[in-house]
Amino acid sequence: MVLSAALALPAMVGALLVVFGSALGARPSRWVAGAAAVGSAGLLWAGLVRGEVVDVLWVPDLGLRFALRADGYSVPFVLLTSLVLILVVAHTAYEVPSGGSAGGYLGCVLLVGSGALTAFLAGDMVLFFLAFEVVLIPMWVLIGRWGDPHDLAARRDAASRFLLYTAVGSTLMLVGILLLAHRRGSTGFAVDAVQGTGPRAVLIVLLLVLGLAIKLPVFPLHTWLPAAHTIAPTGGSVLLAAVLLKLGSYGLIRLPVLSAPEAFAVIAPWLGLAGGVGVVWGGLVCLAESDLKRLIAYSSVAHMGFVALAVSTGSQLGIQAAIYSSIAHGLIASLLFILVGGLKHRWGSASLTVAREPLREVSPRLGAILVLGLTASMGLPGLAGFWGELLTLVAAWSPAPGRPRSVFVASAIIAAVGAALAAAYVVRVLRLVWLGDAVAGQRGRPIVRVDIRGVEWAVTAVLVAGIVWLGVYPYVLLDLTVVAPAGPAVAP
Amino acid sequence: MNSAVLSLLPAAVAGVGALLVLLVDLVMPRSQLWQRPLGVVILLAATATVPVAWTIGWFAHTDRSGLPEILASIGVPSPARVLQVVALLGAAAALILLGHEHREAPGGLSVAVALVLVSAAGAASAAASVDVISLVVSLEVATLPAVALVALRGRRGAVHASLSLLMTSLVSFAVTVLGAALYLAANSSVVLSAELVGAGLDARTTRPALLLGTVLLVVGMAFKLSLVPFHAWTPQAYREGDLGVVALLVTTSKAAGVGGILAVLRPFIDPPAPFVLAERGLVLALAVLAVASMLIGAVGALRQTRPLGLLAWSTIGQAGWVLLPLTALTDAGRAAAVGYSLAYALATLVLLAVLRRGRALPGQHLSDGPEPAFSGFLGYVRRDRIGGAALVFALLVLAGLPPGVYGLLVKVGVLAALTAEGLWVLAVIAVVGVVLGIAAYARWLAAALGRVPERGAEAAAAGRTAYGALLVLGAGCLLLIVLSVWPALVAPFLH
Repeated sequence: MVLSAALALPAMVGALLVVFGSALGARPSRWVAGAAAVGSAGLLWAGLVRGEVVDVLWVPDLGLRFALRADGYSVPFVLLTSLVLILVVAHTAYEVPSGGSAGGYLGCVLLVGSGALTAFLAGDMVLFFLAFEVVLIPMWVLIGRWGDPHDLAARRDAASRFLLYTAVGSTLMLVGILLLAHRRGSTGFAVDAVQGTGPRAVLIVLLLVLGLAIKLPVFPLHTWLPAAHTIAPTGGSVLLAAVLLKLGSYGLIRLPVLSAPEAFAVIAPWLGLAGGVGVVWGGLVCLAESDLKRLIAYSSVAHMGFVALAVSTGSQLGIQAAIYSSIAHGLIASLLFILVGGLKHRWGSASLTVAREPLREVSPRLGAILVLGLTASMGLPGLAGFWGELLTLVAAWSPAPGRPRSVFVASAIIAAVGAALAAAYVVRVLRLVWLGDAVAGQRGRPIVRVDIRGVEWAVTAVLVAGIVWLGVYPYVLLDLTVVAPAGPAVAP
Repeated sequence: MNSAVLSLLPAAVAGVGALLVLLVDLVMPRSQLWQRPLGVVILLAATATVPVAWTIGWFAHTDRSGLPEILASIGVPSPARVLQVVALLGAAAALILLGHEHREAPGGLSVAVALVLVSAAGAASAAASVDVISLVVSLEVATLPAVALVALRGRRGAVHASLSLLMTSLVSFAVTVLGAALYLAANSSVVLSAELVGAGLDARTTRPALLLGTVLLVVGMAFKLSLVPFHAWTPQAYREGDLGVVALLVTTSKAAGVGGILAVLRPFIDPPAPFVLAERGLVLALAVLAVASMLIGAVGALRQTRPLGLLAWSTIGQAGWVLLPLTALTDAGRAAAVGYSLAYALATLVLLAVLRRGRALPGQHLSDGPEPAFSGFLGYVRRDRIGGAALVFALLVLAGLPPGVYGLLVKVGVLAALTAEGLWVLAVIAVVGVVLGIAAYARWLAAALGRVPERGAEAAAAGRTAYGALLVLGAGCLLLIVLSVWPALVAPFLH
């Protein structure tokens, strides 16, 4: 009951804001949306603490149950989504993107959040798919309506790319889910895994992995992501990075890895290799990219490469590494997108080719947080990004039995090279933006001091705290995701 | 009384109602006000008889005296009754949406209303048919009035459209009759019964004729459903017919076609216990028709720039989706097909009502000239809250995306029926259909949700309200919302 209410609250308020938001002013809508986001988080907390489980037969024809439950794998994602939802709503106090009413924007944000929370809590595979689809239209509207106002054609292209790629992915996943459900005789998650590596089992896993690899995204299916990230408003980018991509990693863990482990082992080497290549690819693009927002998007592709590699190892450590990388990326990418959104707001664009005053002089606080975010993104020890990458490499070094170790070791080496590239592009960005090397010697213009403060400061501070906390105290997350190796992989 | 006979009661009410309308017209030939209300009341009465006939048939189930033994053994399954309801209520919506130009048409509104009633009677009887002959006749009764209604508009294009509709109708009639003849020759009976088909398939001599007959019957129905490659009439008829006639085509004609296909396939879906059937030829024919319609319809829809063009091509694509689960030849597949038809009919009716409403609003330049392109709908959700919300919701149901949950659930049902029978290849092809469909609907959707153009901002909804359109729109949306939240409401009636 409490869990259902936690999901219904943002959904209802979101729908109302979408329909009547323009009649409400920006400030009241923000308070309403904020109350819904905080209320939902509170209810979720209560539901999780009480260990509540919901299970109602919804569509008898499909055997589809409205089943909600949480376990160690889903809780981190639920908490991340809840937190990010509150932050995105709060961030509108700093900036509401142009394109429509604040109420409509916040309504779409709440609908995305509600759908994602439902997906993470779903105890039924088809319900997971439905929740996955709920996110689609609000996000499409966020990109298409509130996206970068400068370029209509690019906005349309990015929005429809997002919609169609994701629809392909989710429908492929649906076919896989239905075949899996038919094979297991139930659409629930908490059913015995499919054993064996027969052609049908491999087909199921192939469909699931393909579908989710588009969402994650895994190289070479990532081409929708940079466009969507570049065009989306700041809040939309944060939701994309911290919530939508996590649907992909969570789905990969929950569906192919846990539901059909033996068949997954057959195609896991390919996924691992694609992950490794993705890390390098993302890094190489970042070295040359001239738009800061697009650069962060490509660094996301690289980080998701780590997640793909971690998942493909199939071991308990691999799953933990995947969750750790996902959560860390959720926090880091959210921080970076908020910072870059703020820079874009100040500069008018996010281009790296324009010579600007160095951040360390103009806005030292913003500059410092940017340094922290970028170094966390590159995997500096002591910050959240480090543990995800390290654990992934360790997991890839000794994959689960039955997998070709050489492929995984090779993928790990490729990924490590990619991580080194990350250091290179982070240094490049810091040199251009923070140190301001490009404008050395031509500082004629007056320095405008627009540092980060108020809500923007508070939102980034929360994310920084999370990144540092996970960096120095990784056990908080690792303990949560430990599942007894002998026990059932999924708690009922 | 037997339930098979009772299930014709709705058709009888609608048919007698058509006569009634013509009789009243003799008494008061001048007035143009009473026809539509009377027609709607008759259709509602006919709809009310569906559950009545069902209940009586339920209680009188054991009494089968006075009927040939084979006929008495056949009960009309409940999916047919759902289709009867779709046909009758769809015809009522068509009456409400019928354009005013039918007043000036030959025969006036009375003839138009009578034609709609006759069509509804034919569709209701087609869905309940248990033998080939009455099926073929009912189908013609259901579709020919639509031809006349298109022609009655009197425009040059309308006459062309009705001619092409008539030609396809005649060809499909010929094909259906040929199929019926083969069926009769193979079975020595016109009754569509599982026992007879089972016996016919077992015998080596009758098997080819029986299968060919069945395939030809399905192909004959494919014309009515505008399945590829028998779809050519559809875009023309949608463009030239008025919104009411289009509503009739998407609900009543479709229900007749789906009902006909279900009647023909019933012996293959409900075989008696010892008789297990795996008919590859039939499955292949169904699969080819379904996949071709789904994909070509969606591609055609992608190329459209105007709402009715989109609706016409999306009809073709959606007809493929209706046929697709039937390739499984299972009860689950049939339930999926009927559920899908229901979602499609409701969502398309809502869209037609939105178009009718749009034509009544000022500043939409929709009144007389050609219908507007999608760009004419820019920012529609801002200009017309109710109509805009309904437009977005109905388009999402058709595209199969939340919040149009019912549209998504019926698509899941189709895919589940396929995967359960191991037809995963069709399911994977259907993924392409899903995405093409979304791309097609997204263009209208993007226009409606987009930013309001500067000059359109003043066009508020201050004009004459089309109450009829509002009624259809409200009822359709309400039903779709209820079904989205509580799909189990209709689920028991689909089996």
